Amino acid sequence: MSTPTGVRKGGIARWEHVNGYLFIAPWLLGFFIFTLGPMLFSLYLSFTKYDPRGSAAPAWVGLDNYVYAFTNVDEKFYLSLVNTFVYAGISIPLGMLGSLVVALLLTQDVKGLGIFRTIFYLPAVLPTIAVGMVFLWLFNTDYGLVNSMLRGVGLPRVDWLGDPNFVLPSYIIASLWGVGGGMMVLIAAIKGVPRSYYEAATLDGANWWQQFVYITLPQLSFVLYFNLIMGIIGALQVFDIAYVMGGNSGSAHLFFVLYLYQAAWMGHKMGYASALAWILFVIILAIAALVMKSSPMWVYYEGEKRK
Amino acid sequence: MKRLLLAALVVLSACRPAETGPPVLKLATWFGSSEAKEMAPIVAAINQRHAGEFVVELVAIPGEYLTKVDTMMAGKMAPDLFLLSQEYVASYAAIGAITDLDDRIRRDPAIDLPDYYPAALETARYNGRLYGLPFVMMPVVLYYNQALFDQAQVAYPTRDWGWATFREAARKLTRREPDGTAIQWGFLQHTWPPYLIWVWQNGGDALSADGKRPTIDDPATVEALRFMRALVVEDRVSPGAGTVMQNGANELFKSGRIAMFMGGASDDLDRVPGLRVGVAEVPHGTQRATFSWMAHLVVSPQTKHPDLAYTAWREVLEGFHGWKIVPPRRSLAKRLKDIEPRKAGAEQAILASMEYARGIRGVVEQTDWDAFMLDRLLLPMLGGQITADEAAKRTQAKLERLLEATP
Repeated sequence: MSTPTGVRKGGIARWEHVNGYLFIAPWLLGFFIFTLGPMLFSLYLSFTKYDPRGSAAPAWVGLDNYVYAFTNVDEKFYLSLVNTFVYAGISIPLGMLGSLVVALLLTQDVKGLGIFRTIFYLPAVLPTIAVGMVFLWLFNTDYGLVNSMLRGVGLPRVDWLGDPNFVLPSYIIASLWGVGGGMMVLIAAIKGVPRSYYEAATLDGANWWQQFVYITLPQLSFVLYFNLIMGIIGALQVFDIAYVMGGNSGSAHLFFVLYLYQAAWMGHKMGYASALAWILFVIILAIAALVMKSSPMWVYYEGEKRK
Repeated sequence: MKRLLLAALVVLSACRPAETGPPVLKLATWFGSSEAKEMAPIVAAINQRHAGEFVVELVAIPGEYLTKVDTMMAGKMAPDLFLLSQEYVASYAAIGAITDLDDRIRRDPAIDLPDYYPAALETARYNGRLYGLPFVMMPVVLYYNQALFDQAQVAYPTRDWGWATFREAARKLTRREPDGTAIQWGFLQHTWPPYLIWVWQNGGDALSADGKRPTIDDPATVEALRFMRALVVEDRVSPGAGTVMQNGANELFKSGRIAMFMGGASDDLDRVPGLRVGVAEVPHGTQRATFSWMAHLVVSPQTKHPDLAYTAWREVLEGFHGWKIVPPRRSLAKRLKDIEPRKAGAEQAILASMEYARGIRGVVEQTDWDAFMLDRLLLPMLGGQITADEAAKRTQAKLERLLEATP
């Protein structure tokens, strides 16, 4: 037989349980309705032929869309995949290196640091569409700042967004504008490295480079790891910059998500576009899993016990 | 509990749209705010004439027009009436996304089909049946900067100009700095103007008459492509891809750096402040031909009021024909000057071009077709990376496979 207090306690516990679910209900509902639901629907659509304009319901075609992706007539699947990988392969390391260098510079003891940090961080909060428009002008063949500078040092002007060989480099350069995001996290991490480590190293005679390699880098590895994962996810899904700056440069700017968008909204192949989305999902998942698997070898967590 | 139920009922009934008054028919257009403003009185007049019967509501979608219309269709909320560019008729008709109006149009005494330019009607057909009617026709004519012609002492273009005369003039009208950088171009040829102008003028085409076989590798077509490439790659009379893309083709002409420009009949290129611009017919090849952009007014099969939608469709179409230039009907095209007095100087060239202007017969896989043309044919060929013959051969092979099957 339980005491009255016990009954009250049990009741409160039960209510707390319900309250907990009630509090997370908006998020759960949002997740089920706007994320999981559409994801499952798109998985179903990826096995169908479906044109949203018509009255016909999605028709089951099995694995046809996936087979078509790998064997299709326009080879855009491979082309867009290669473009995306090249973009990611160059822009991620460059972006990480850029944000690390800027973060190191902005943690030096100089005047006006706040202003510099704001200036470097500002592009990271600007919408990519706006950044794209700015770079359209910077890369303008006739009036652009970049070509003016090239001409100034006697180099020939470059058709940045018209010549297929320069389209991808243009996007990569434009993407480097976003180093401010990674920089902010790195600044916080650099500030968090105990001064005593450096003092001890200095006493032991370590120079600047040795301190950077043996103290700073290991201490920042978990942030670099975070930046890498986010960078992979972002770069493999790159869309907006190419959408804004793409124009008539043909397939040279065709990234995977842009191809997916074109298949869905211009080609009206919702089933095929859904299959493309799931292929990309698996690719990102696999790469992210590989990076995570490799992380114990190069990521250092304070307080962790290595086996 | 009863109170709660009552409150719920009140809230629910407030959420239901009121169904009083005549049905509202949505008319989706790609018009921007100025065109929508011009169109408003036309719609108001129609609504007044049909007061109590229906109300046409103008929906202006100036950006991502087709994507938004498609999304509305997917959500079973398609606009009752909407505009559709010629090249998409086949694609939309094939899956039943637009209504077959053939029987209604033929039975309708208010519609005088023989009055329409045949080429304009042709682009509204799919499998021989009309899925709408054109609301506008915009043949491509030749705009030329008279000051640049005077400077280079080249005679103004006439309707007698053939390809050779045109090419020679374009060369003379291109000016370069000592280091070879062009500061003025004789002509502009990128993805605009359409390659089909040259192809048709040489007796070729992109698609066989039955619409089943691509004909990019036909000798007449390839010869026209060679000419086009020669203008850009050998003669270098046109700005490069990047310059055109970033500055805009029309803007380059307006800035006074292009001597000859092929533009649509309704473009404002002949009224640029500070520019003396003449308008002529495009040069001819072995035959006369020019491209015309055309667009149609169509009815959605999702409309809940098919009869009223048809009546509204006819009324709106008539409204367009009295407003937009050039009306695709012979009897109305003659009134070009009355509709748009600023085009008085171009009237002769425009009306002559209407007689031989042609539109695009779209294919069901139009988007893929366009992408192939851009990626396989035009960009590599005009970029000088590939010969016209090679580009045509490769594109033909791809297009043949495309027309065979896609998911």
